[in-house]
Amino acid sequence: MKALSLPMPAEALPRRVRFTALLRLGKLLFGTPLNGLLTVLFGAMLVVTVPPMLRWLIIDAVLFDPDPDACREAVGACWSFVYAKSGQLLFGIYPLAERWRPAIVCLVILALLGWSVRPASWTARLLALWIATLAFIVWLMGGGFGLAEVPTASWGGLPVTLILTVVAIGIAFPVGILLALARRSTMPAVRIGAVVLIESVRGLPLLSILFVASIMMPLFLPEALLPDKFVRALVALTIFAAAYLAEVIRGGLQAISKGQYEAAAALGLPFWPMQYLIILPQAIRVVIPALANTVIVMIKNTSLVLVVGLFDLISSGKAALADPEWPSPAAETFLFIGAIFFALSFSFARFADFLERRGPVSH
Amino acid sequence: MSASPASIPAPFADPTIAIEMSEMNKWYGAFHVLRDIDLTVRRGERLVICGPSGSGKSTMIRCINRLEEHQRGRIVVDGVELTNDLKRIEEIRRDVGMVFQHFNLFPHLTILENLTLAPIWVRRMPRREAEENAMFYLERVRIPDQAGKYPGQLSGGQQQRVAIARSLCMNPKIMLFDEPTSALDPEMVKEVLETMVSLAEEGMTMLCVTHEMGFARQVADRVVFMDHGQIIEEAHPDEFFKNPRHDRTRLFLNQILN
Amino acid sequence: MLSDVKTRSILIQIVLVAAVAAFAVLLVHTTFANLRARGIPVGFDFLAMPSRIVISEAILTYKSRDPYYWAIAVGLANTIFLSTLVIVFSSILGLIVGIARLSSNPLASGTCRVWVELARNSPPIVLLIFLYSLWWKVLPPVGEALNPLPGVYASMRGFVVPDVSVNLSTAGLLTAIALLVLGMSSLLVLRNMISRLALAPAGLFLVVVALWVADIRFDVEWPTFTGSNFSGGNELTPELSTILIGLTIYTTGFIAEIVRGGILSVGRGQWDAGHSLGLSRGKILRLVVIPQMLRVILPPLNSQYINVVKNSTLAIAVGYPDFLAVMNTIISKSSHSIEGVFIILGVYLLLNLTLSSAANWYNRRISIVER
Repeated sequence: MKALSLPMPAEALPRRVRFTALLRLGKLLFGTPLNGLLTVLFGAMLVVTVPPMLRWLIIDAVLFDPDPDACREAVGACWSFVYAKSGQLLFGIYPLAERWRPAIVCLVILALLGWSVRPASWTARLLALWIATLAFIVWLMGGGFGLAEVPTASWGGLPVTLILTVVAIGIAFPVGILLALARRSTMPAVRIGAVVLIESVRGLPLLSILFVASIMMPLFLPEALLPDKFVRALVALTIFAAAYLAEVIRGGLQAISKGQYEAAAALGLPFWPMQYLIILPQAIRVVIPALANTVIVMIKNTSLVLVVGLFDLISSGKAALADPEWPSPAAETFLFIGAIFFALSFSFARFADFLERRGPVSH
Repeated sequence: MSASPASIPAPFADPTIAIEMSEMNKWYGAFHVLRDIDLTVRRGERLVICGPSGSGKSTMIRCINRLEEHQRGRIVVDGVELTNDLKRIEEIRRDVGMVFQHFNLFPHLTILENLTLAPIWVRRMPRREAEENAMFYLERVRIPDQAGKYPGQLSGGQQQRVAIARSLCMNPKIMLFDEPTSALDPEMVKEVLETMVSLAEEGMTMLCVTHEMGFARQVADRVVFMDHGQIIEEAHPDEFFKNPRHDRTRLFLNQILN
Repeated sequence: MLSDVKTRSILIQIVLVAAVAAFAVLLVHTTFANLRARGIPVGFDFLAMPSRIVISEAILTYKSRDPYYWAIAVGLANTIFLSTLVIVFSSILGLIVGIARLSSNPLASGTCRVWVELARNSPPIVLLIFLYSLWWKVLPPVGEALNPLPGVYASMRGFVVPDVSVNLSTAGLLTAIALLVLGMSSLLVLRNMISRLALAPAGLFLVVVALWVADIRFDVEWPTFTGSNFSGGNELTPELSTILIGLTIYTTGFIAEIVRGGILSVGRGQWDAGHSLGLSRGKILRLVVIPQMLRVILPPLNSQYINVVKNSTLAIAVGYPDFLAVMNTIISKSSHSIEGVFIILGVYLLLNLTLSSAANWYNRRISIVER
């Protein structure tokens, strides 16, 4: 009691706090026999794996030395390769002098994607903004009207990944809404059609859809109408995304009470205005976390386009590795590419968590 | 089938009749919900419909604006017969307002947007005019200061008054009330009933499904008692409460008045 | 007329069906016109012809003289083999990681959280290519093969693990099956008469007896190192090992999250309620918590298993010949693309359907047991 009423010496307090924190940590680590065992087990695992990893990653690594021979001699990672080749890794074989264009495109897409997840920004203006942005992106990437023309075959790296993601999702979103509504229709033919389409696309691996798109489209379509590889992959990704989005949106539609439909009907709203004004805005708000999740899945999925010969991040990594001047540090390169994907997807996931925690808006 | 709804001369077209149901029947699967309903409502008339739960009273008024579909018999609303014709259904819904037990306001829209939505999209009213119109009705239900809020920020009684105003904004000829006070806390019932009474005093044609017998005594021209999907008895409230003719009516009144 | 609800609904459906049919006819027409123009024959009779394609490794025996249909079967067997192993490994690991994430030990929960986040936020194909590139960097040549567990060797040439072979005679197998069917059905008939507690041991006893009758012997062959090579044991190539490890790491991240969610979904109130009824901890766990957890876990777990089958197509990125990779080779070799595409779609839809109906069956069963 007496000790409590005494004023603490000024510098003793922090040490005491530090000590209790340490004590608490010690209790967490060794408080019970199970925790002690876990600590020893995981501690041993970390001690065995982390130091050699750190040595390879940083201590023994060549960081910025532009001389390829430094990498040949080093025991650790060759980050100078990634550093020297970062332009090629990020933008593929896009003409050197024009690389500022895909760089701007990446920034614009990321900004727009983040902006679009906020329900507060869902207005007709956002839609217009999207269309304008897409047109702007296509112009900036492809050229024309004062810019040097760059064919899609020379597009590569991160912008390809991002463009495929946003364009596929952008087109798939309205298609997914239509499919979700169709699946809830009272008309059997409409409903069955939607179920068959959604479930078969969801039942197939994306890779098989990409293959089918690249194999079948040349056979389906007359030669004159045949789109290039880029568009073919885009079509496959869009169909894939639409089926998944349809199910997400259907989940939201199921959460809307019957009373909302009845109130809208009683006011004399016909079917489409009812959906557009009353049902969909509420349904989509419910599923924002799931939608954000689908966007992440799509970002990850676009990495598969390399298999059908598109020049995304992975293929530009492979191309960079082919440079005979350098020892080919494949692990470092793919670690770098993996880190880009991780950063994109992790930050988007945290953003979605933040939106979810803020709860349904406007109540 | 072929003629447009506006030109349909109802066979017994009588301009003083608002709603006419004759031999109307409805089934949910094998369950016979409404049996041979015959009911005529004149313009300006105020009906209170009561009866035990499950007696079909809500279903009956929901048939009037086609939230429920009847299978046999006729319903003529404002001279237009209800059929499968979408145009007629939409026309009738434009002219018939409805207030629900659970308010059913649109939670993602502000109060003002709730009120202007249908006038703008269904009546094609210019936004400014719709907003002035909405403010007029919000003042009538005495909550003009809440126009910018969302439904979730209002009390139950306020929400129900907004719902009434939302219907009035469409300038309806008939108002349907489906147990408008059943979901309210007791202290909020009064403010909603007051709004309804003032509406009745202006001569609105009203059909109210309610257990508020005080309201029935005060404003109803006729009380309709339903049980097991049938209309058992209809009478002026004085008569209805003093001398119920039917045993079942007496039993019901005993249960809810004591 | 057009505004009549029923007429309109029928009309919309007719228009839809007609449009789909017209689209299909158009597709088929152009496809056949294109095929004819290129002189490509159509039909499934090529399946019986010798394929002469190379399949680098296979579970079933395969020679390049074998017909196409056998090549397809070999690819499919590889896919099923791969998916099964990944499902088994990642279920076990996922259970451990999921529980460890809820541990109060910060070291354990932190490490597992890093695992889960890394797995969930990286594209599996990048993970696979990264792991594959590590293979020659991390692992020693055969001569200095690592020996992390008894009988398991790891080197640049892949893994070597003990080979377990099952020996049994047809007669023994048939007797055992007959015995099992008989015993199980009589148990089912008698299940109301004998106590529930006796049921499980009785079933176990039956299985043991059946195994004994069938005379199944598991022969384990340990690999031995003979100077420059291994003899005996099973060799897993770097390709197979990479995709096994990669997909297991990836899937474990997702299964761990499902397990964690399942455990969290059963609230503390259930434990309190159980205790207040006087149930023991074990009984609460068995009768209250686990049934509820299973019901929450099973549907997402099943879709993860289906995802494993779908993700097994990524084998193509490291050059392991799974079903899709084999089909791709067949299509480019035989130019029977239409037929190939139909086989691809059919097989994956069938695999999927099998898995999800098995899960549905199991789901129904556990929900009946609950009632």
